[in-house]
Formats: sequence, structure tokens, C-alpha cells
Amino acid sequence: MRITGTAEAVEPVSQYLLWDDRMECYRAEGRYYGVIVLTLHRLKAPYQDDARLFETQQFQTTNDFPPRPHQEKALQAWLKAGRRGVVVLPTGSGKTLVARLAITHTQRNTIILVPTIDLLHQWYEQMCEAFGMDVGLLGGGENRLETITISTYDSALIHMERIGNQFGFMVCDECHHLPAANTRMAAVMSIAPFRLGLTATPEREDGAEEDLYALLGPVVHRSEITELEGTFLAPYRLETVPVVLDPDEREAYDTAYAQYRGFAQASGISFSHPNGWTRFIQVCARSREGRAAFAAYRMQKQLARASRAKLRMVWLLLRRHNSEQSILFTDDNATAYTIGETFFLPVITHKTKVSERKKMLDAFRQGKIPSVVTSRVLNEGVDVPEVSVAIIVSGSGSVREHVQRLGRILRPREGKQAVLYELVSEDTAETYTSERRRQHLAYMSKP
Amino acid sequence: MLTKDLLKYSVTRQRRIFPRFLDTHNKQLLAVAQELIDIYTTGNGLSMEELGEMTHPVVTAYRSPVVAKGLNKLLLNRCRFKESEEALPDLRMRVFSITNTLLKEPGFDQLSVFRDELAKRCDSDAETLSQQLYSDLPIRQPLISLKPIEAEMLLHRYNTAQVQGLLIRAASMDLEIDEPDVGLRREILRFLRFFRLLATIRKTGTSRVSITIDGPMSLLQNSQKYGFQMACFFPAVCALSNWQLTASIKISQRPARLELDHTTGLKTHFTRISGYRPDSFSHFADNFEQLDSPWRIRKNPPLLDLGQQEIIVPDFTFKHPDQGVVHLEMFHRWHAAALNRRLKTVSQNRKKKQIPLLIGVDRFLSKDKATKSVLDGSPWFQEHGVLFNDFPTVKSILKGLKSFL
Repeated sequence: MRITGTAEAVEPVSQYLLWDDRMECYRAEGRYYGVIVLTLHRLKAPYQDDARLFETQQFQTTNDFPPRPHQEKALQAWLKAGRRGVVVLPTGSGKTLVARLAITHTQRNTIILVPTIDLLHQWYEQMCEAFGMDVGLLGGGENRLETITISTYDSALIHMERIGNQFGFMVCDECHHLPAANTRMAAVMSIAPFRLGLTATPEREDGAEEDLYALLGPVVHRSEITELEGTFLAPYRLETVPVVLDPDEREAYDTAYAQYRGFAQASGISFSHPNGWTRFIQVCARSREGRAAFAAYRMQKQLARASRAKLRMVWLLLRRHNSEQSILFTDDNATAYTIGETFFLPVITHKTKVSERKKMLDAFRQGKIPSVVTSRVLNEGVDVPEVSVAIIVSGSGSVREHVQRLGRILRPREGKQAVLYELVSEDTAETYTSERRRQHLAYMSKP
Repeated sequence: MLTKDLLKYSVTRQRRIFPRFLDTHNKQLLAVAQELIDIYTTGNGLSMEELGEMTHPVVTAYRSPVVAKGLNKLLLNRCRFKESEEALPDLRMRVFSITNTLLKEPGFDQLSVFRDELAKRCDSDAETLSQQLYSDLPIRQPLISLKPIEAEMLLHRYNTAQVQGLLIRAASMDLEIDEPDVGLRREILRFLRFFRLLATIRKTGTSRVSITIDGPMSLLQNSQKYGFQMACFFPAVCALSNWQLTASIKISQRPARLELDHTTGLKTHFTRISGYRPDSFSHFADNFEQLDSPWRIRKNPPLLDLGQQEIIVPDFTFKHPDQGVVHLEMFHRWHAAALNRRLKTVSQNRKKKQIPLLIGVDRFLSKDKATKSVLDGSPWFQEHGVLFNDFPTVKSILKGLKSFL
């Protein structure tokens, strides 16, 4: 981009610029392209734009579903905000349609970023069908650019320095992933002035959602699960199932719990303090007693996560819902495989090969396998319409994780009543973890 | 290489970084290293999961578990595990299909009855089938071999890895080399080419060379991809007899300075510096030699003095029986500024043809708008230039060489 005039000519946009001695020119991150051009344009300052390689397009959808009220509201709010911002909609409430409408309203070369290969393929199929044209793909072994291109965040990160000026509109699906240290560079290097973020849960435990808003724009619309339940989302009920440990496991749990808590107390560590956990790890590493305390911590956690009583309860629920498909969620891979080996069920973790995962999910969609066990990979972004039962065998205290897990069973279907079971080992630290993760309207509004 | 969580260093108020190097003669450390090596050396047939259980007490028992974890990580990198068998995904799908049928049938409320019936339909027993079902997971694959290493060398390897882990985040690196061995000096400069690093090289004395390695985005953001190349290059520096390194590294979003020299006692783990070539270079040379052509590849390309203290390190040098030598210099995606500079230099000498330099440019770089216009406007490149994808083909180079005839 060439700005003509004296040194003062760059003054209005100087906050976005850095002088590069090596090339003797100013440099700016791609993300500031829109604001720089807009500022210069408004000031009628002369400039030559060699950065932009995207064009105005004539995208037309071939099958026009009328948007539902919440989708229309989201679109209008985004347009009003200058075609930048984050739309928060629950899983299953039609985020893709909002993106499709935004693309037809914006009419610029568009890149859609997604976090997983599964989502890459889902978006590809939906966009090809919606626009009746070939859509580009980056990731999963594909490297083909079209006027609408779908890319994984990882591939976008690799290619953005080359293709960052070819798209005027950027859609980020499951955009709460964007603020990660490396991933955010995909949005930094892109010059797309128009940006749309889609997510069910923008809030992050590390507080990095502020970075998300800086990269894409603020939250412009939010619909909650409770607003859409029964109309555009399946009605659901929640059942917290207390699990009583067997006497021997109870005794082992209590001993281990007392040992690690006692050690923490003696070391002056409070777990309610923000650095409590980090300090505990540090202190544990320093002495034999500390290492024993850490082993005790791991043991009590494992007992609470996957006790014999929990496995019996899982079997009971599987039999109770033997005519329905279900997803079983765990907090760790070891428990997922224990369940898989005990009940001869498919386990999908990050260790599962992509080809086998696809095979399993295809069979699951076709109803050829009854249930899937997973630790975290199915928390979000996998479209499994027929599932109406979710069993949380164990989980973290993350509200986002818990809301996303609920979202897996909310895709509406005629006559569907979804149910989410949460197994909680009674009188263990799990009770507190469960309370923490249920701090969301979707859970708090239910008895 | 070590991941960020396994790096140990301190940063002073003056933003100077001090990696915490291990004392390679420390008996306690040598004992931990040996204990870990012994587990892997005698662990053939054990799975990664089992090896993890065996190494866990050793790692946690050491007074600094991060150090022990780092040593363990370096050893795991040297391990070769068996590839999993292909037949199990089919077995699993068969088992899941039976699970689907049995779960819907009455009479299986007792888990043991369900398990026995399912196993029976798979011609097995419940316990065996359970154990077999996911036995092909990578974490359950048996160890085949450990690339041998001695305890003291592992500690040296750890120290080098500490620096490499920091250099991944480097924005720039300055090297001062005083190496009397001409061969070694030339090889280190060739390593810059092997790792595609963008460097300005200046001769500052008979045996002294000053090298500035700059990151492409150092002004705005750190590029870890490029930093990784710097990190890979570093062990070659440790092979020299006299060197000083200064690097600018981003720590907690702020630049800090790393200063090291040959007195730090870092040892290279490259077994051969002299004569080392990456596979891509060797394959190219082998393929070129098989061509029916009078051109021959020289094993050791000379360094070319451009004057004004600047030196070129050609990627390859070719000799024609009648026409003398032609050098090839390749420019990759990061080398826009260097390419620009080089085209200026060669065009100044165009009439005299003082530097018979064939210029190869990665298509990735040539698509850059500014670079494209430089290439289009360079008579030298139009006459003596070759485009390639990642690495040139022998035929394209041969065609380029003919432009000098």
C-alpha cells in the first residue's frame, strides 16, 4: 500500500504502523488493513492499494431456508455492528445458516476457519450444497483455494502469510479457539476487514476472550439454550446421579484425600488461592513426603473418576436406554478406555486414527453402533443428530466443556426428549467440581 | 528438542537470559540419566505406557522433576516403537456391531453374562477380548530399540536442547566465528543454507566471520517455523572451536538477550559436521551425476567473496570442462531481501560476468508481488534464473546452466 505525501500523511494511521529499517518502509499487521483503508478513505487521503487481492462477488444460495427469528436477529446485529463481531448461539441452533446469510450479504471472497477436520468436511458439504459451486479446502491433505474456502485453524496459520490478502471476509467457527498463542496469528495475518465469530461459549478460563473480541469484534448477539429449548432445540432434562463408592474404595479414597490435603495444609497451601495448585505441585516435587502426597492426590482422583460403582451405574444406564444411542464423556483417556474395554464400546480420543474415527462416527450415525465413549474430542463440532442421551462419567470444572457436552444432544427431532446424566461420586471432590461446571443458565434453570 | 514447559532458565532485570545448564559431571544427575537409559535399554518389548510407569518414580524422585522429565523426553525421542497392527480396527467394528445387537436384547442385565456372550460370539473369552480390543494403541506398542547414548552425552544433549528450546522463539541471532579450520568454517556457512536461514555474512579477519541471522517477521511477530530452523542449526555452531552467539528472544511478550560462547562447554551431538548433507541435497547431487551431461557437481562449493566483506555460500557449484564453473544459489520463501540484494550485485557485474551465478527462486517467493516485479525487472534473472517448488529438479538446473554457455 502506498500513501503519498509528506510524513504527516501517515499520521492518522500511525498507531497501526511500525517503521522497518531494513526495508525502509512502514509495516502493519494484516488485521489493521480494514481500519487503515477506512481511515484514509474518510480523510480523502491519496493512497494506492496493492494489498487487496479479493473482489466483490455475486454469491447466490441455491436453497433458501428462511432464517429463524434468532438467526435473523443475529444477522441484523452483525450487519449493524459494521460486519464485525461475535455471534453466540447454542450448538444445534443453526450457526451455519447465519454464516451463509452473512456471506450473501457481504459478497466478498470468504475464508471459513474451523478447528477440526470433521468440521472442515461438514462445512465443505454444506457450503457446496448451499451455493451450488465448488468450494476450496485447506487442510486434511487438501490445498485448493476458491472464492469461498474452508480451512482448519492449523492450515490457515501455515498459509495465511501467503493468502492473507485474498479474502475480504473471515468466518471463525468455534471461535473461542482463536485466542490461542499460535492460532490467533491466522486472524492477525489476514487483511479481511469483515469478520464473523461463531461460538456457543466465547468465555475462556484464561480470560483471553478479550483478545478474541480485539481480533473479530465484540459480541453482537447472544441467544441462550433456555430461550430456544422446545422450539429450535430439543427439550431436555438433567439428572445428577450420586454414586456411592464401595467400602474398600471409600476407605482408600479417604486415606489418600486426607494425606494430600494434610500435606497441603501443613505446607501452608490454600487451593482457593489462584496460585494454590501451582504451589502444591512445586512443593510436592521438593521432598519424598511431597511426592507421596502427589501420588495420593492422583489416586483419590482416579477413584472418584472411575470407581467400580460408577462402572455399574454406567451399565445400568446403558441398559435403561438400550433402544437409544448415547455419548459417554470422561475427563481422561484412561477412564474412556476402561469403559470401552469393560462394555466393548468404541472409544474416540485424540489417539484414534482419523480413518477409524470417521468409520466409527459413520457407523454411529447409521445406528450400527450403540454408543461412543470419548474424553474430549467430541465435546464440540461433531454433528450427531440422533443422540438423545449423554452420560458425563467424569469431567472438569469447566462451564464451557459442560455446556458443549449438553449441546451434543440438543439437535431437535420430532418427539425427541434429551437427557443428560451426570455421575458424581458422593462425598468426594467431584461434588464441588460438578457445582462449578453447572454455573450456566442452561443448568441453573433446571431443577 | 525440549518443549517450553521443560525449559529451565532465569531472566535478569536487565533482560538477560541464563539457561540453567546441567553440570555434566554431577554424580546425582549422571545416576538419574543412567537409570533412565537403563530402563529404555532393557525395555525392549515394553509398551510406552509400561515404560511411563517405570520411569515415573525416577522422574518424580529427582529433586528437580522438570530436569528429569527433560532427560526422559530426550530419551523417548531416541526410541523406536513397533507400528501397530492393521487387523484390529476390523475386529473392533465386528465387536461393536455385536454389542449393538446384544444391548438391545433382553436377558443381559448382568454385565458378566453380556461380556461372556459377546466374547463367545467372537470365539474368545471376555478377559482376553477386553485386553485385545485396544491393544494396538500407539501408547501400548512395544519398544523396538533405543538409539544408544551415554549418560554424560545425554546431559550434554540436554544442555544443547535448552538453548534450542529458547532459539525457537528468537527474533534474530548474531554469531561471531573465529575458526582456523577452513573446512569447518565453510561447512558451518553451508549449514546456514541447509537450514534455509536468511543470513548476512561478513568476513572480519583471516579466520573470522560475522553472521547475522534475521527472522522474517522479527519486527512484528515471532515466527516459530523460522525459529525452529535456527534451533536446528545451533548444534553445528557448538562444533566450532571459537564462537560467540547473541540472540534476541521473546520471553513473556518482551525481548530478552541470550549470550553464549564456546567457553559455555556445550557439545554438539552432530556426529559429522564435515561432509554432512541433508537428504534433499544428496539426492539432487546423485541425480545430477546420473545425467548425460558434461557438467559435473563439485563436492565442496567454494565461498565467493562479493567484495565489501560480503560472502556468498553457493548451494552447489558445477564445473564444465570447457566453460569453467557456475554456482547455484537458492532463495526460499524467507529470502526476499537477500534476493533483492543479490540481483543488484550481479546486475552490477553483468557485463564482466565476474560471478557466474545461477539464481534459483522458490515459486512461493516468486508469487510475492514485490518479488515478482524485481524478478521481472532483472535481466540477469531473466537470463540466468530458475524457478522451483521447494527444491529444484536436476533438469531445470541443467537448463539454467546452459544459459552460461
